[in-house]
Amino acid sequence: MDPFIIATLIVGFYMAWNIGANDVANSMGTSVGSKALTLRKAVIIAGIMEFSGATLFGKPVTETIRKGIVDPTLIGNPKILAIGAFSALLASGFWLTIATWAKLPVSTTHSIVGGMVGFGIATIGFSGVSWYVMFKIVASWIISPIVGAVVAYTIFNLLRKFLLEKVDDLNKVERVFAYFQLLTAAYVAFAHGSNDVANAIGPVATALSVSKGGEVSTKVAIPPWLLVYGGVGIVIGLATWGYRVIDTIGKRVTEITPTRGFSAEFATASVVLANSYIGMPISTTHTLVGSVIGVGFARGIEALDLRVIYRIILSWIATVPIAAFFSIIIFKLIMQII
Amino acid sequence: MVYENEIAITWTLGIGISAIIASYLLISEKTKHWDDKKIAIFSTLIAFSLILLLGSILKVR
Repeated sequence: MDPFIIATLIVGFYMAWNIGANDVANSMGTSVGSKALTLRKAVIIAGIMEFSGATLFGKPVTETIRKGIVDPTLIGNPKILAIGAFSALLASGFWLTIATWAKLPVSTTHSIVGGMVGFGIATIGFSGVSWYVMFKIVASWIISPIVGAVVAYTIFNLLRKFLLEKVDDLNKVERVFAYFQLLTAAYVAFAHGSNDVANAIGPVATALSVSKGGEVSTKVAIPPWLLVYGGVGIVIGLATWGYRVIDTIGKRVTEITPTRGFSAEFATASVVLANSYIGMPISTTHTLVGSVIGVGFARGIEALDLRVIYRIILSWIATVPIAAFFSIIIFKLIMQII
Repeated sequence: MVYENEIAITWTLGIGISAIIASYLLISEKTKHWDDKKIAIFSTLIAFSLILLLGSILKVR
């Protein structure tokens, strides 16, 4: 096998590992934080749901360059496209490793987009980047957490007014909502597996297609074995380093109970679902963080750890430029070696 | 993919309606003494059955 393909496969697996490690908090962070699940059980459930989502419902076709950030036909040379995909993958993987190490929940999609932006700048220049797509990403920093926070705040306040203030046994309510929180978390993990496996293996599929003499096009088929490969990477990632970001979402932003965790998870699932129809620029990670802030804010601003929130927002803003910077360096290095 | 959206809608709506039914069961004098597991399972079954029934009616039409 071509050494470049082997290297791309390894980097694709590394990216899948990163996605699992950083994004598992999206589904399981609040459940672990509210003690509805132990970390061990959360990892097992997330692993099963993510793997099922990735292998059974992972998209069989992906864009050669995620989110249309760069027009691949402008690049022309298929080998350059494959090297660009490799650089973007490795660059965004590096950034995700740093973010996960720092326990920061960042958007893995924005990270790979940042990698592609760097590749676009390195090959075509600033004119080769779709700034409209970039605008949508910037909008996501603002829209996702605000929408998530408002919906979660509303759901939790409705629960408080119509349920929590009327029952005799609050502990019983929390126990019942722990089951619903688990159902929502399982769904978010399943949906994440099916949607985000392409972030890791999409560029690998591009490199494979190019190596087999494929032309430069906007879409490329993903072989089923590659979906399984990405699914395994995600599961290993969430099982090994997933606890780091889970700690931030579940414990450090605000104190979570099953009713608050349910409100945050359900708000995120609803907003992401509505987004598939409305087409708003929404990030699941940003929406969930906003939702957790929303349920925390329902108890007053003092219930939130503003220092942690400030660090999270900074990491969101840094994601695209840092991944782009890493990608430019990696791309230039590879081109010099070749 | 149509079926993917159908799963997403069924799951999200199902959980939302389950929570509403469970809230009612937790307040109602007749059911508030039920075991927490019984309330969760009963409300989930009712909610998902309702949605699947409604979905199949809409599909037939």
